[in-house]
Amino acid sequence: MIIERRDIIRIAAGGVCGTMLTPVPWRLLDDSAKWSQNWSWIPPVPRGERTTKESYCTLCPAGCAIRAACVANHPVRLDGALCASGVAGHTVAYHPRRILAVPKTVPVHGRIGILDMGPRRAMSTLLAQAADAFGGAYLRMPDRDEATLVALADLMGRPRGSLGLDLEHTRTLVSFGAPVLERWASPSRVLPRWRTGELRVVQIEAVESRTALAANQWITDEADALKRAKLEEPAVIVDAEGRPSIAAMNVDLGAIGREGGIVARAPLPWRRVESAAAAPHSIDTLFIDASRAHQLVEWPVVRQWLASDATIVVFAPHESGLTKKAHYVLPVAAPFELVEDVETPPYSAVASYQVSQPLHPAPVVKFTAIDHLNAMLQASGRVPPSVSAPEMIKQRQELMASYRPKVARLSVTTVNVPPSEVEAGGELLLVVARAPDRGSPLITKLYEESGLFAPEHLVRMHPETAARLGVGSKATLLIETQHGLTRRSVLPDPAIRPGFLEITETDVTELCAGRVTAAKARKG
Amino acid sequence: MFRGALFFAVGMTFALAAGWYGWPRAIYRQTAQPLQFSHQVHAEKAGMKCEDCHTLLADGSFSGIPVVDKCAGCHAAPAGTTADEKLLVEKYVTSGRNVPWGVYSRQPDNAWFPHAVHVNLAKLRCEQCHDQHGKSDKLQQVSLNRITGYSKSTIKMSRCEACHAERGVKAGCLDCHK
Repeated sequence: MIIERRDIIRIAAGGVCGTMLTPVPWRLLDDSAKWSQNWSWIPPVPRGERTTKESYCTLCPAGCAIRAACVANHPVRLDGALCASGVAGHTVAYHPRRILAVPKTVPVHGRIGILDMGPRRAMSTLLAQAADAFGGAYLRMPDRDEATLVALADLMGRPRGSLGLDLEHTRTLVSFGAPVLERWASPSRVLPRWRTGELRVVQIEAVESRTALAANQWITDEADALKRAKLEEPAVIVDAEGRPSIAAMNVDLGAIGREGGIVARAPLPWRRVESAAAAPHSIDTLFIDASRAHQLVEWPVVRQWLASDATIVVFAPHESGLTKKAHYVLPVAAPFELVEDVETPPYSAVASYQVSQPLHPAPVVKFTAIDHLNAMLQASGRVPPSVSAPEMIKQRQELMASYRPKVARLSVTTVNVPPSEVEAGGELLLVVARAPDRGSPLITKLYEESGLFAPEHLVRMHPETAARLGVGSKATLLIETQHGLTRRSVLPDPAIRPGFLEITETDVTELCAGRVTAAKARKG
Repeated sequence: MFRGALFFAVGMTFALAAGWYGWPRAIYRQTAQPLQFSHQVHAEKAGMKCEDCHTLLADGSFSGIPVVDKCAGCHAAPAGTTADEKLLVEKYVTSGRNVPWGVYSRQPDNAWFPHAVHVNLAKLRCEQCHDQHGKSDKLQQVSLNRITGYSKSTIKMSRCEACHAERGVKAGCLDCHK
């Protein structure tokens, strides 16, 4: 018998049909799915004894208590009244873009600035000492935490940080744009009481924010908002921007010095490290300790400090938006890898100090920012701080152990509000950030010439808004939000909703922090 | 017509034979255990029970295969004359290194099987899942899937489902797949 080409095709067809009636294709599908779970770069689930560790979260200043479920001494779950970041905090150490390599040389030249993104830690004191050793400046972002309490303390002539909020007994929390149900103060103090109905939230905000949607009452217009709010005593008022005119409403409400209102807070037994004043364009080398980003980086503020040829060195555990702006990135330990401390959460009624224990048994990176800085100080023949970060934390613990604070009762019936602030409080403009989308490279030219392309130097607004601001097309407008300033050229656009400004930003955290934000605008 | 059907049948028969007979043998690779261990000797001569070595911990988790310290409790020095015991003492007990046993029942990481619930609550005996492994005199070779790396003896979900259905125990996806 001669086997022809068609016979071979018939055998192959029979083979294919027969294969479909065997386990081969189905097992291959199943096995390849399981194989994909065990790729070498996927961290294996630890196996071993189950234990628990008690500690504090150091991702933000709230310092929430956590109970870590561990397997074979590795944390696998964090429990507690935690925010979304806190619940997943132990996974930061396994960040896919974790920075591990140290560059061979980091040039240090000119005047040095050290920017601390997690102020009030023991590390902050060491960073300030390192800045002194360099003959440079210890810098911090403007204090946006506790904006209302800071404004009230200024009005009352009290030191900043001497006021707290007795949230545990507050019945109604009136918020002027503050994200009280998102990332405000300590989530563990707000969310559980709000969920059980013990705390009512009245959100006064023109924008449909997450807090506004979830609040018990949402009022979109600030005018006469308090009259429309259903207040159940004791009530307290907070403001995202810390406007004195709004902070002072707490006095009229009788919220000062009473249970569930604003109370006096004892200072901690060590001096707070204050930020130095940096002259414009005076910093030649800026070190940014972003190991714990307790604050947002307000890039317009930072840019003002920098000289034209400044070098930016960022200490970070993994890549982020900030590291993209750095010339050099140096690796540091991730959260929960080393002993850390957190001091007094924002809006806390009492001063507190928490020390966290490491949850990960063996840190991938053992360095901290001060370790890198000390090495640079030694390399340049300067004397680094004599105390290490763990020793500084221990010193603070000893001070706290012997500390017996005395707090005077707070009583205020009236405060003087600067008149200009009362007038300025009325206008509300909002900025919407839009990331530049250049589309496909194949249609770049077409896209850039179309109306869809929004150059970064423009601000779009409805012609009515432009008329209200007294500006025309191509006029220069200075836009200010709580995060910083920007200067843009006006482009009237009827497609934009009146009252809104739309800008294009490469990094939305610069002016808007990723959300629609109240802004002020003037010619400039 | 007949000729076409014949060649089609030849191809199909060959594929069926390869798929049902050849494939299951080719997909698994046989791996010998690092040393031999007799459950029978330990159970019958030494009078040990399964839970003496494969213990449930206080927190409800299962210790699995015992660590070498457990072996060292009785085998700090060779108690018998076998070559495997000598190897255990010299290579592992003395150095404190755990024996790299091949595991017959290792589950994928996405499946969670609580021994405590099945042993204490459902009162299942070890033999109901692990057959006569506890009475075996010799350790079988471990058949490891060349693609997944899991053992051929790993309990399949169909067996879990059948047992649950038999006992009227309802379980959702997230009860086992965390």
